[in-house]
Amino acid sequence: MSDGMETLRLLYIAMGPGVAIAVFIYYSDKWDREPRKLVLKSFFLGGLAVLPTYYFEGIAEQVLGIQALQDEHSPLFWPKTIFYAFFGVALAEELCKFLFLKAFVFDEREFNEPFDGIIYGGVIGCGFATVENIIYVLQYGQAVGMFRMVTAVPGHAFFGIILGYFMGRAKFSTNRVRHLIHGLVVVVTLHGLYDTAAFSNTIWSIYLIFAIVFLGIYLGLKAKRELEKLSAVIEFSAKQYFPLKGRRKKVPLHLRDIRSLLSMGKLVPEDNLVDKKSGKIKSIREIFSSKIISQYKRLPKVPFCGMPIKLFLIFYQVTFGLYLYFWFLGNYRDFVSYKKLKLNPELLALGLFVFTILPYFIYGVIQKALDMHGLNLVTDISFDLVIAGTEAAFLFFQFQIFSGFLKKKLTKSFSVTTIVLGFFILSGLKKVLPMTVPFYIFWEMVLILIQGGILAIVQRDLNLYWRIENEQTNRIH
Amino acid sequence: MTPTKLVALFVAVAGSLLYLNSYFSQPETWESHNKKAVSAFRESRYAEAEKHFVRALELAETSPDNDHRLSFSLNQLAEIYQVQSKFVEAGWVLKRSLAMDEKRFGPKHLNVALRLNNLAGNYRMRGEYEEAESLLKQALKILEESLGKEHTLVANILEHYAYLLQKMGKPVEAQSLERRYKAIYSVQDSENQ
Repeated sequence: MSDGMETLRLLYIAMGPGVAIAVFIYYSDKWDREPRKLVLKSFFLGGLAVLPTYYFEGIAEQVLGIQALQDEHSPLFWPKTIFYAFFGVALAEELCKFLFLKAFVFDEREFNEPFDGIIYGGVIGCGFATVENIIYVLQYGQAVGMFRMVTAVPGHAFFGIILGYFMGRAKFSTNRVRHLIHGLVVVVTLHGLYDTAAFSNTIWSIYLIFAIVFLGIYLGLKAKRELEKLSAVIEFSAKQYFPLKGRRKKVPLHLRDIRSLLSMGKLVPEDNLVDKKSGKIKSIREIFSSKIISQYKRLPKVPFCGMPIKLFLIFYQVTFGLYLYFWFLGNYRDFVSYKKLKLNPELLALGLFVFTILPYFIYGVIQKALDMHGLNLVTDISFDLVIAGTEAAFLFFQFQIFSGFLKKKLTKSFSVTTIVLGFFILSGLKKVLPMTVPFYIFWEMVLILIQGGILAIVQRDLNLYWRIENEQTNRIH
Repeated sequence: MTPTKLVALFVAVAGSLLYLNSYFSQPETWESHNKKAVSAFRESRYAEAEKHFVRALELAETSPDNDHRLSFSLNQLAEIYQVQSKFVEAGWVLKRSLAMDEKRFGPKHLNVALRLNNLAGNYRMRGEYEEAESLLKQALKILEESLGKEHTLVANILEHYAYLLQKMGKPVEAQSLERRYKAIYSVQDSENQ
C-alpha cells in the first residue's frame, strides 16, 4: 500500500468513531433538531480545543518531569502521575471544552431546551476525540487507533454528554452556577481516573480504563434518557401559558411553542409566563426545569420519524460500518419507547459491543501471552466468522421483534433470514479480507457499502412503518 | 462581547498558536524516528519504516558518543531492507555494521561472529554461497574458540551452515553438521528439563 493510501486509511480509522458517535447524538434529538451549522460549529470547537490543551499539557509535563511520568520506580511517581492526570490533562481538557461550549454555544437562541446540552456537549466531545485521535493514529498507527476506538473516543464523547447534561440543566435552572460546577467536577473526576489508569501502566490499568469508559457511557446514556423525556414533555405537554410581554399576550402557548419562540429570539429563558390553569407566574427557566419530567408518564404514545435512507448509507459508509451499534441502539429505543417493551436497549447495545469488539482484544492478549504470532490462518478465519455470527445473531433477534410489528402495518416487510444471512456473509468477508490484497481500502469500502445497502432495506421498511403510525396518530388526534 | 467569550477567544487563539509553534519547532530525535519506524514496521508499512530508520541512522551518525545508537540503527535498517527484498542495500549496511563492531570490540568478539552470520545470511539470499560459507566458517571459529563447541550459539551457526550446504548441493556435509547441531540441542533440552 502506498504512503498516501496508508495515510488515508489511518485517517479513516481515526475519524470514523468520533463521527459515528456525533451522528448518533445529532439524530437523538427527535422533536426539535438542532441547526446543522451550530452542531458543526460545536464539532470544530471541540477539535480546536485540542490545541490549547495540548500546549498546556506539554508545559505540565515539563514542570513535572517527563521521566517521572514514565518510570514507575522514580520517586514521587504516583503523586506526580495522579496530579498530572487530574490537573495537567483532565482539568485542562474538560475546562477547555466547557469554556468553548459556554462562550460560543450556551447563549445561542437555538439552545432552547435542556436536551440541547446533550447534543452540543456530546458533539464538542466528539470533535475533541476526533482531532486527538487523528494526532495519535497518524503517529502510532492502526493498533492505537483500534484501542482508542473503544476507549478514548467514546470516553470523550460521553464525558461531553455528561458535561452537556449539566449545562443544559444550568441554562434552564435558577441555580445556574451549582449545575455548571457540578458538571465540571463529575467529568474531571471521571476523566482524571481514566488518565491515571492510562498513565500508570500497571497490570490493572486496562481493566480500570474499560470500567471508567463503561461508567461514562452508562452515566451519559442515563443523562441523555432523562433529558429526552423532558424534551418529549416539552413537545407533547398539554399545559398552556400566557406570555407577559409581546403581541401574543392573549394567546396561550404550549411548551413547544415557547421552545420555538426561544429559538426565534422572541422569548428568552428569563421571561415570565402565566400558567393558564393556576394563574401562577413562572420564568421559562423554572418551567423547563427537570421537574416537568413527571408529566412524561401521562403523555400519549409518540411515533418516530425514522431516518432517510441516503443519510443512513452515508453514515454507515463514513463510519466504517461502526454506525451499526448506534443504529441497533436507536431502533431498539424507538420501539421500546413506543411499544412499551420490557427490554433494555442500552444493555443490548452494550452486549453487541462486548461480544463483537472486546473478543479481538482478548484474542490479541492470548496470542501475545502464548507468543502465538501468526497463529494460523484457519484459527484467525474461524474466529472472525464466530464474531460475524454473533453480530448476525444480535440482529436476528432484533429484526424478529420488529418484523412482528411491521407485518401488522405493511403488506410486505423484509425477510429476516435473508437480511441476516446477507449481512453475515458480507461481515465475514469484510473481516477475513487480507490487508495485503491490492486496493484493499477499495474492496473494504465496497463490502461496507453493500452491507449498508442490505440494512437500508430494513431502514426503508422502518421508515414506512413510522410514517403509517404517524398518519394514524394524527388522524386520532 | 461577554468576558467568557473574550477569555475563550484568547485561549483558542493564543493556545493554538503556541501549540502549533511548539509542534513545528520540535527538533526531530533519534528516538522519535525509531519509535515511528518500529510502529510502521509492526504494521507492515515497510516503506515508511525504512524512511524513519534511514533518518534515525543519519541522526545517530551526527551525534557524539553514538556507537550504541549507530549499531542499533544499522541492524534495524538491514532488517527492513531484507524484508523488502532489497538484499544489495541490506548487504552494504551489514558490512558497515560488521566493520564497526570489529573496530569497537576486536575481530574475535561474539558480536563480530553474529554480524558475520547476518552477512552470511544476506549473501545466501543473494545466491552468493561461497562468500556466505567463508563468513560462516569465520563466525563458527570465533564462537567455538570463545564459547566452546557445545554452545547453543554454535548450534545456531551450524544449523545455518547446514542449510547453506543443502542449498549448495552438498547433502552429505549438511547431514554431518545437522547431526552435530541436533546433538547440541538435545543436550541443551535435557539440561533445561
